[in-house]
Amino acid sequence: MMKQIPNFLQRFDLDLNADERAIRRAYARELKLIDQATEAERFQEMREMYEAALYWARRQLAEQEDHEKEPISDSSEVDTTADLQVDTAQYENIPNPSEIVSAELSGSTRREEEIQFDIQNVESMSEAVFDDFQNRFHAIVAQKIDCDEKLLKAELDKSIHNSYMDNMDVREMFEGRIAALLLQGWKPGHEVLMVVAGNTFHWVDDRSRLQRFGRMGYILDQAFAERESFFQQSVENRETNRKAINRLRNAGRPGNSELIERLRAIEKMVEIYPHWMPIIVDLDQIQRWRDWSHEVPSWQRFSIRPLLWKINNALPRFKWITPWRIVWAILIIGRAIMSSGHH
Amino acid sequence: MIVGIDLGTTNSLVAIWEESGPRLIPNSLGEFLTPSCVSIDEDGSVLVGKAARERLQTHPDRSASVFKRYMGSDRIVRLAKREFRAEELSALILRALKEDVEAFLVHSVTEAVITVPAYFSEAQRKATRAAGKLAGLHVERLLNEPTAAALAYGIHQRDAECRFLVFDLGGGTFDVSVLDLFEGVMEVRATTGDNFLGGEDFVGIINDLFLEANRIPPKLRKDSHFMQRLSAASETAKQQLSTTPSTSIRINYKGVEYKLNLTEQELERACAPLLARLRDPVERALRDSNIRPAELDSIVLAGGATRMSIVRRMVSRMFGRFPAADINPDEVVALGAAVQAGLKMKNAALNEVVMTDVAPYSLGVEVAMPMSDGSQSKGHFDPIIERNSVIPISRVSRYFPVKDGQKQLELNIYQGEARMVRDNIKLGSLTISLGSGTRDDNGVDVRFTYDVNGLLQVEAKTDKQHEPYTLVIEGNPGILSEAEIAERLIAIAALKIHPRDRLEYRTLLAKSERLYQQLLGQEREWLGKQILQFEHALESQDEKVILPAQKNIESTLEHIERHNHLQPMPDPIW
Repeated sequence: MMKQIPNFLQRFDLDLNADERAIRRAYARELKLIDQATEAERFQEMREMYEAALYWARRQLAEQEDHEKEPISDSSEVDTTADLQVDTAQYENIPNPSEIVSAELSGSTRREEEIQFDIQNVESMSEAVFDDFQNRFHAIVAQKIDCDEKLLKAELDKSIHNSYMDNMDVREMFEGRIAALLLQGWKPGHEVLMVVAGNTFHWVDDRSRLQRFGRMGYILDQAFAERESFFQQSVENRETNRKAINRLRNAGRPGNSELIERLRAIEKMVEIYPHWMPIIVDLDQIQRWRDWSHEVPSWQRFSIRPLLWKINNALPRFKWITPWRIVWAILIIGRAIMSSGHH
Repeated sequence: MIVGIDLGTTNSLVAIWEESGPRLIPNSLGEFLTPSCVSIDEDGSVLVGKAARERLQTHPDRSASVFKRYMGSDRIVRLAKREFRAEELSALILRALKEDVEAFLVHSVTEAVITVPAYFSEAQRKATRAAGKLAGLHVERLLNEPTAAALAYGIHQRDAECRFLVFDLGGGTFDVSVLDLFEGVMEVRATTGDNFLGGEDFVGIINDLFLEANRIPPKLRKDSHFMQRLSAASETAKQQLSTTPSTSIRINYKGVEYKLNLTEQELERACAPLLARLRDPVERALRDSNIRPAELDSIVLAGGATRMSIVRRMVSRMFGRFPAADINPDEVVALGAAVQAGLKMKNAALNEVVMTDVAPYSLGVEVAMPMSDGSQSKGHFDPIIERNSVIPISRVSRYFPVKDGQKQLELNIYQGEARMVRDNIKLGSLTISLGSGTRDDNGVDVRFTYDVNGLLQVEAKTDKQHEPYTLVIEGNPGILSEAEIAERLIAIAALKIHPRDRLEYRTLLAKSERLYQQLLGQEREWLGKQILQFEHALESQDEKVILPAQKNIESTLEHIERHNHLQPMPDPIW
């Protein structure tokens, strides 16, 4: 039985044996019959068919290559081709950026051995630059907890001007390394590194820049969008939330009422900033807070709980918290007085 | 006949397509490069080109240059008490080029392909088209400059299969394009750039070094005579440093001698921030086209500023090899414009060649991003046409109002790459009235259509309405309306242009005046006498009298320049 020939191949009078070269030749032939200035629609229709055909041909080729490779595949290779599934809250599976770049390169027309040689070289160069940066970064963070933007920018610029970085592949891989570092979860200084790297690598002013890094880039892109939304809150809400974040970065256990109050803000932020929060705070610490909150005497905990499900309107919820908090504070004090009165 | 015009920041050129290939047309001085300078003579006539460039120094209040940088803005340039917009000054350049090509072809020319920096915005492109109209030229096509350069190269290798990158650093703009050549198709894969980076910025750096080193007081810095002279000297120094390791700038002004010695290394160090800015567009173009530097068959240089050795070194470092400059980088864009003109005229020699270009910017609308708690984050950018989409292209996206029962929807249209609209460029807005009902009932289809000239049309349509809304960008001071163009056309036509056949003499006189201003004492007197003699000869209007007088003054000027270290005006300047 004959397989159906897709319309994007029919459009160019091609069959299922067509390769990229044949598709390009057919496209060139058709293109010369169209006046782009006056037949825009016809051009666009043909162009879309051409892009679909090219995509199809590249996939055919990739599948064929995968098929040929299969018998010799070992466990390390499985890693590179594994689906880059990353749960938004867990980042253990973040791939090495060099793997992403090399995966993309294998689709190009260059020969395999040649690529691998280049990659190794480029990789060791970017590794050297990255290690050097990381050392300096750690040194700053070790010196003082609040590492400021200017200081970090100067350090990152030092790496950017490293002579290894004249090579564009090295630069890209270094950029990927920084992105991967941020997604490994929060460590002191990462919140500043995110901003500095975002400006330096144009992750902020060029939406598509992060697309190069696949799933990893998508997460970072979302994180930047969420960060923008954070700054759109009213000043008071933002300050309340900022205080909660800062408190969370401090390892010590907050007092009961502060714990409950701040944790509420944190939980809320984890919900609306699922990509950004893991970069700027330690998820393990949130878990610790959750555990601690269970240690809080139940009457104190439950007296605060109802809040969470009462305010589940689509309206900006933060506005509600301030007046309610006062009411509950009064109630808590009242109960404390009552319970002390029992003794 | 369609002509190809490179309307540059520093120089402009015109070329035509002939059976054998593209051909540059000389101006009345016999040169291909016409400086993009305009000056108003004492008798009110307009001088364009080299004579106007000489007069930048002697009559700064009557002369203008580098106005391409103001295209698409409402900035006004005042010359001899008359106000000009950048479109009008550009129109005067275009008119001079039109006359040159008409004199060469001996028939009138009304259609042109004009090149623009690939990274030119909507407003800048419209301004360029308006300039063409004001010069009496129908602009058949606005062609991106790096694409033009690529056409000039590609036409020689139409049977080849190759990939190359065009590195186009002009007087005021920087563009990078990556091209794929196959089966006679010249496909632009990606285009990026920087609209405010060019050779003029390097001159600015040298100016600053000079002002610093000589501790020039603020008053002198505001003296336009002095500053024009400095810029000309810096321009010369910039060019010299591409061939010699060191040079010096000397300016004798009002009895004081100012001096700066400059080496190539010093220049390179001072220009490091500018050189660093060359990197980003190159990287982005390669990333967008998914091509690695090693996969490029060649790197093509275009634009006069690529002659600078510090720029060439930077390019070599970035790609790990030397770039190609087989075609004169000053001329390559104009030659490509002529190739496009040939394509437009469906010239038989070109019927196996076809070119496709891309949209250099993403185009889209402002949206609110829904958060997981149902609230909304405002001011996000949603692209409808992604950058580097092949043009012409038309795309539709559907948008919904933020709230139920919303009466109107304001559609704000932006150009740019940033995530937030506040970091992009607003092109205009469109207000759409909505019917009653929930937000889901009130979807609006927004269609963006981007044509081959890089001009955008926006349409919006709700389900209930029959006729779509079309975007009219109103109140944008950077764009002239049709009525304003018609009005200015008359005013421009009324301007008297200096007679073409006498421009050569006028240019010589302008140069003499400049040198006269720079000289002192006896030599000044001597030159003064020579000028008078030459003027006298000109009045006779007799070629037999004028020719020897012209030879005489030319040799006088040459002698003065050589013996007084008065830098000749760089020729051709970049």
